[in-house]
Amino acid sequence: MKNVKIKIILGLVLAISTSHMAFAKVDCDGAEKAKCRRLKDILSKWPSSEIEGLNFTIIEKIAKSKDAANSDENDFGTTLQKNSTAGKTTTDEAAEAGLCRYDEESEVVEIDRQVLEFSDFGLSNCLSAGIAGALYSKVEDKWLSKLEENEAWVVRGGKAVKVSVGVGSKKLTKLEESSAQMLWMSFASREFMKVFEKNSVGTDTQSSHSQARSIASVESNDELGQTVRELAGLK
Amino acid sequence: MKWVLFLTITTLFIHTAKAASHKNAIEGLRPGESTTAEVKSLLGKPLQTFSERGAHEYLFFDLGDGPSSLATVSLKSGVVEYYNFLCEEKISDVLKRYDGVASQTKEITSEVMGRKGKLKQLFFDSIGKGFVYEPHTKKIKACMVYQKGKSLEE
Repeated sequence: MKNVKIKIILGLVLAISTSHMAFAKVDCDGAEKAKCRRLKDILSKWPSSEIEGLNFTIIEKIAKSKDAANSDENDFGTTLQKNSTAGKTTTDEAAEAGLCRYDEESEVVEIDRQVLEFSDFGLSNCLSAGIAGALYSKVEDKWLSKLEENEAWVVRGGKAVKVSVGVGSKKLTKLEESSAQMLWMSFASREFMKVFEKNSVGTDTQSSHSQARSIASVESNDELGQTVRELAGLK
Repeated sequence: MKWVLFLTITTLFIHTAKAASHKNAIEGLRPGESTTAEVKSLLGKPLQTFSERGAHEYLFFDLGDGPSSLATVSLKSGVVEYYNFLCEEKISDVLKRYDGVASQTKEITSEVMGRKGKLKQLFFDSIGKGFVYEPHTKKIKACMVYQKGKSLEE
């Protein structure tokens, strides 16, 4: 009788603590079960502490926002520098094209349905960008101070626009397009890919593994890489 | 040991008082009237200055708003056009306070690789005040003050 009581109490404690743990939630929205399972499997390669509380959802097609579509030419009359695509894979470009992105308003990482057709490497690369994007809001202040950048607001076309004011900088840059954010996304995505690679053993094709290994082999022991790892809570 | 504690507390107190006095000082600026000289006399040397075409100048000040937030004073031909800073207000209080005052709501969406953000902006032209806030958290990111009865259209 005593044993039964202990078991019931333990069961209750386990149920309560599990319900309070903030694991990542995935809304597969009608995707095939196998594809949804694969997505969840890939997400499980990141320790829950790194993605806890994040919500992921599959959407039919990620539309580029109107403001963003016009952002190649910024309000300050300067054309933004495009990153060179030389040497990048289709999946790198998919991540950069925003096929996985964190929507600050809905607080959800959106995944374009077409990404489910990608290899494990491609899908995880895309997810890394979305996870890095989700973290940015939380770390922005600290990240900017590390980079000695400051944020401020100026009015452009009747709207207040957040700009980056760098020490010694000679021009104002829209913060959403600033090198500070690009730098975060690029470093943090890579760090999340490295965690994925470390936790993946024999789950994908050889070629994907070699791609992942090539990412992992890029050393980021520099100060900036260390800062990213600290801010992202990566060990 | 007591002296170290005393000095630490005093330094912290001076820093807090300085930041608070700067915040009060910026609210002493009058858009459409205050000049560059008045701005510098009230707020001191700006952290950064940018000049643009059309005799437009931006002065950025560190008012102790946060590790990376700066206050902006925009001047046109040497006169304050508008200023903004990180005020400690809640958008729900603002909406209550200015209930019935005509307002305009604008939205700005930003998107970079892996991230999409949206901010709402509320402008009360008749009183010359504007607020930028996050719609999901309702947190105000900037409070703007400009000339009453004018809009911030450029």
